[in-house]
Amino acid sequence: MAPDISKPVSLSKVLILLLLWSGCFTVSMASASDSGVLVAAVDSPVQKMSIIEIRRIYLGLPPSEESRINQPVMNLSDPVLYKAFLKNVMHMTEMGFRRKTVKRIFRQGGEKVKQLKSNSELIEHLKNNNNDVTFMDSETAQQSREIKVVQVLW
Amino acid sequence: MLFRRINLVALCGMLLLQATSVYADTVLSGYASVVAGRASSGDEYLADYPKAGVYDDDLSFSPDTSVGVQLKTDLDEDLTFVIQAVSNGARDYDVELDWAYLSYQLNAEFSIQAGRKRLPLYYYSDFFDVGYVYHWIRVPADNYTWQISNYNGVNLQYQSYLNEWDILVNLYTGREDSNDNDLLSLLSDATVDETWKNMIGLVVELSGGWLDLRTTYMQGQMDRSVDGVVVAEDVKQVFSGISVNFNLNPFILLSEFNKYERDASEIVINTTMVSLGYHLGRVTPHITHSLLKQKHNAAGGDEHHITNSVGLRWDYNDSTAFKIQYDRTEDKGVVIPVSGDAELISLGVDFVF
Repeated sequence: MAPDISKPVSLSKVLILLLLWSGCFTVSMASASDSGVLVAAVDSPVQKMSIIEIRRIYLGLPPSEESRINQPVMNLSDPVLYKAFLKNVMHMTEMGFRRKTVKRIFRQGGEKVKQLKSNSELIEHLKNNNNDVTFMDSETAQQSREIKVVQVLW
Repeated sequence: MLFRRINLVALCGMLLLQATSVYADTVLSGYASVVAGRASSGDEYLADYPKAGVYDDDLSFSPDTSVGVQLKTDLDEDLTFVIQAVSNGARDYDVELDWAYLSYQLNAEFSIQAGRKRLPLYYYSDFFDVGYVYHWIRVPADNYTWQISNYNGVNLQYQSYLNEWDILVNLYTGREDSNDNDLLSLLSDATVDETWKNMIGLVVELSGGWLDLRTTYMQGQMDRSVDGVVVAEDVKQVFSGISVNFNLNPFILLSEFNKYERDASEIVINTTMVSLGYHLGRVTPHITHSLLKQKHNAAGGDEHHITNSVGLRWDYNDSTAFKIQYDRTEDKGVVIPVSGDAELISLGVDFVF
């Protein structure tokens, strides 16, 4: 028997379909980058800190004195890693993070977090800025002798 | 007024001087919105109350177009100077200082600021002109009807976190003198000077991954003169409000509820806004309902307008968003009509740099 296509679809069914559809994206993104770590120069005095404090400094808030961090650097070498960082540490979408940081710049005189687009640039930057940190996937971090893992992020 | 409106050439010179003298510690940022619109029904459409931005039945770029430039200079490790100059089409592209303040970071959580700032009454007050950060072309006009947008004063700010919640507390005090106030002079067809003084306000914000909460309270006094005649002096006024925003990706639900009270003239005004958006990749369709309703008083005050809007935001790239929006406003005020029933179609682009 042919389905009755003239019958209107209920709002609740539409909402369920939309939620399921959005869930597909979430699952596919989560499996893309398995492990991320916070790294600094191998002789850096930077101390391990809470994930919440890492989130806070990437939002542009001042780091605590105990952490000994000067500034965080955003790793844009891999879009999948970047999205995984936003999801697991910042708990935000790319668009949400962008809007939040722009809001902070014009509302509170904040600054953009420094961004670098390649691992070699990041390692060079950390070597020259002992108190700065960035995030990497754990495999990449273990391949370099010039940086150390401060802590596991996800 | 002299402090607020300054010569464009002087401003550019000052920015250039700052940028070259201490370049290493100076950061330049900016934003702009270019918006075109036309009232598709009704004689005119009041789109921006504070700046009196009005569309009529001719296509116009002026009411919502704006550009802002911000310069932040670190004077030392803890002391910062921030200046933000804004040019709005609704104000004939005069350059004004929205922000000009010194900030001293007391420790990781506390900072103290002094100078000129935006008056943080509403959720979007601080970034009213930065269209890039919200999905509308403009924040819902029915809610944002205040005639004073800035203040000169001091504030103490606390920023910290509790578990996964970011906390922001802002305690401020100050005053603002507005000569020939844009909104009041437009509505009363006279020259209205207004002062808000002895203002004390508190804003508390809690922000988690999917939920933003904000409460606001301000009390102060108001002086007003019309065509040089004093009509109000030391009148107490109180503003309070709450905002609750849900970011349940892909859904976004925004809401804001505010109340303004002036006891001496029995003025009580409530505003409400609810907006639902849906992120479809880089496209965000949205619908919004907003209203302002004044409680009837002995003077016959009955300001009451309702706006329903639909729109679309398209994030073209990480710093640019195109938008289109349709607004329909019903003006139910009899004794205090604002601009009558009207509809507006507008489209624009917002970007930051």
